[in-house]
Amino acid sequence: MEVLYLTIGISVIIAGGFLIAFSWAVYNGQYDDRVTPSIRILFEDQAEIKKGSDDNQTPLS
Amino acid sequence: MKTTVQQSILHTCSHCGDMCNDNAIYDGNVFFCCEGCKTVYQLLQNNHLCGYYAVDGSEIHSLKKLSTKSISRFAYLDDSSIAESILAFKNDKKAQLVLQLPSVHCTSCVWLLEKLPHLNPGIIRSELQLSGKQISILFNPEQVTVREIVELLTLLGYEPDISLAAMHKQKKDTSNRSMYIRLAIAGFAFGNTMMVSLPGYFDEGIGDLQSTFTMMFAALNILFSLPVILYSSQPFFKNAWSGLRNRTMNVDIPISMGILAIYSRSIYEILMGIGPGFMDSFSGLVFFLLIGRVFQKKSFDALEFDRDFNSYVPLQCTKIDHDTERSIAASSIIPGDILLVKNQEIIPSDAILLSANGHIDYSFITGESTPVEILKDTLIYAGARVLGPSILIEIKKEISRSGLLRMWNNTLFRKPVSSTLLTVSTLFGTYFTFGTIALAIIAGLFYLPHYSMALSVFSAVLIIACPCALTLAVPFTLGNIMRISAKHGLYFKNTETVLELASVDTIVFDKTGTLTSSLEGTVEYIGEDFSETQLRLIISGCLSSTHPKSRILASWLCMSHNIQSLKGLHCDSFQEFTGKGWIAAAGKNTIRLGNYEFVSHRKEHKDQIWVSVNAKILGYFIINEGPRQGILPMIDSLTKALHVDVFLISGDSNRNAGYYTSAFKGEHSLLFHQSPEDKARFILSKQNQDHAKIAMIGDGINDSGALMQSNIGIAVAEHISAFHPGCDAIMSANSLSYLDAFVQFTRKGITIIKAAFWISVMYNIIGLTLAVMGILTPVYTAILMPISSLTVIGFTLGMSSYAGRKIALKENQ
Repeated sequence: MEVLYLTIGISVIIAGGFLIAFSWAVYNGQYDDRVTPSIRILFEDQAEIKKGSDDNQTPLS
Repeated sequence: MKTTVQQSILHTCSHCGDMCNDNAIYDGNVFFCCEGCKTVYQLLQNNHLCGYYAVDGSEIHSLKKLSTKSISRFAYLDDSSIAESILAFKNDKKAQLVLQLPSVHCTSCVWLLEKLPHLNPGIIRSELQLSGKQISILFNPEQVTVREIVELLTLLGYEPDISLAAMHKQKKDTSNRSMYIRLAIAGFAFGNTMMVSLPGYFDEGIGDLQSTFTMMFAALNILFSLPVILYSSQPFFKNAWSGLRNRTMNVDIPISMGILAIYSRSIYEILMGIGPGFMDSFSGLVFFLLIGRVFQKKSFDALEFDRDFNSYVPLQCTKIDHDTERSIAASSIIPGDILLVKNQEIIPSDAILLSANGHIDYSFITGESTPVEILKDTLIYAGARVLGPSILIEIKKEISRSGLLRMWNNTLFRKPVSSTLLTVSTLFGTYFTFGTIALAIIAGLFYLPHYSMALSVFSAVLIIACPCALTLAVPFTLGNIMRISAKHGLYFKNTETVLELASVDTIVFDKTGTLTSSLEGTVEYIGEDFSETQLRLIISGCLSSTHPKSRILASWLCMSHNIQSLKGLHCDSFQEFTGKGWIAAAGKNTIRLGNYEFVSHRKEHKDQIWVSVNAKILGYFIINEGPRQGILPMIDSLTKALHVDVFLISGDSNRNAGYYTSAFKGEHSLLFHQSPEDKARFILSKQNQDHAKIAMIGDGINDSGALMQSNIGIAVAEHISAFHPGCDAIMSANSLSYLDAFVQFTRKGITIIKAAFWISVMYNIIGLTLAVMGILTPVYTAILMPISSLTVIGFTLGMSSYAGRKIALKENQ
């Protein structure tokens, strides 16, 4: 049964790791806005391609 | 690309989507309604950002008409002290600017605003927070100034809200973050204490190992619970303490009592080796309470249109210093300063007029939108808006001591929270606290010869009676109601407002614009016919006018006379008189169109829109406005099914009364020719005489006095972002036809809360019985507490969502 010392220790460390990860995410601002990122991901790339091709003024071969 | 001026009302502007009038600008194959729209379109086109128009064409908002004058407003941002005061962060190479953009509302806004670095190379990165309507811009201060950024945003149609209040708002974000951390720590402790406490409940089975493990588990439990008591439960202690200091009872007092009782008893039991303690119930309790708090906070942050007086005070003013104009920060003005206040600007603090005369609009203070003429040496109160020519004023008081701030603290602006449920909840807090303490003492005394037993029963009662489930019921139900209503177009200011709507027994409608829709109506003309040139002049005059009725006339005239193109339409001069009419002249003809008094110069009131050519009256137009779709059945259901008294008060004439007499309870419920003061007075008298709880449905500025006086003022708006002083809720115009469903929904919410109260009372009775009998063991609390919280949360959320589906059903009909 002494293995309990080890398993409980490990489980607390794992849970603590998640707690730290969550705190980091909160202080990093990831929970400040949960609407815009979902919109942002939908149209980012397309505009970059457009800009690149128009700037060169040459048709893509 | 040649730009020509082409006339067509059949085209919509390629930028803003508005109808183009006779000033339409034709450029290549696209039309614009004004120069401003064209500028923005070209700006986007030159930077290859026309994808903007593909993102969400229907939602593109109207661009404010731009002129060089409107932009010079931002001159004060050249003042480095003001500019730096609004920066969030600055060093040599980088600076960060965080601004509130009230007009942000859709996907295309995000798309365009995050492309700012394409529009100005000095901007490094721009990030928009759609929910908070906030943009954060990282830029290089050597390449671009704050003023240039603000002007660019304004040019794009997103004028930032630069006021003291908006600046304050940015600093409060961190409290939300700490709330999440508190919750996470409590959740962490809850899970882990549960895990190590569980074996303790079956301790007979463990045998010899029991003592060593019990020691370790107890130590771990104390370790886990420390951050919970020291950090996570702080908000409850703080609230309870401030309540005690102010000698008012709040629900946090019994909560704190319960938390302290359960914690100290657990520590005592563990240290004395009596038992495993209640550490798992303790962290679970704090965890569930915090979930309730986070939910409550979320619904508060959902929509902030609760602006305080700071939003009205301008950030900048023009000071006259030895005959030179200078922009200074409004916060730095002192009595004796002489300021120049221009058209549409707001008087920052109480002042005396130095110019010969001026026109002042007190609409936001009194709700009266007719401008007041004031003479030299009159005292002007802060918050008044200047109309017409600029005026010179001498400041009499500092901003912090001005009448505006006093007004703001006045009872008119701070509605007393009269809602029955809230008073019940404070009363409840008082009785509950004393009741619990009394019961705990009595139960303890009963066991008295056995001191340890008495103490244990005493603390057990305090522990189990903690009103955790009760405190969860209100925020979860009301928060969910707010969320569901917002989805269907009714935006409550706060949870108290939901309660107010539920207790309403009288609803007063304002007809203009709220119940009627011109699109449902018809136009008639009675009088002599016009010649072709006269007709064209009338149409171009109507198109130049900003009054909505002129627009209706223009489209009706075009349709009825079969005019397709507006080629050759123009007027040499055009002048509009607000509230009266307009004069347009071209060649030999001069047209006056407006009310009878204005057209005929006779002091007589007639309802129609009259028209005269060269001072000769030709005839009049009648615009018959019809009720909006679904309005009449809605009123019917309000009066019959929900037993609400319905009144209609309108500034208009009674010619359309026929639509409403059948729906409203006869003629006495219909009041016409009412001024804004009459409306407010009517509501006041109803409240005083009949003790009526009144909901006023109005359309904003014009009715703000009445909206403020009523128990709940609901502003009906086409655009949610429009600003409405004095209202408690904003409703989108389309949702008005199911107002009855909303009233019913909030009433159901009250029933749900009451039911949830009873559920938690039931759990409390079971728990208290166990506690008084002295058999409340940690196992019972570990089961009872989470179950009661979860039942209440599940019940309130489930029932309110179910009740909300009725609105969705009505919407789909």
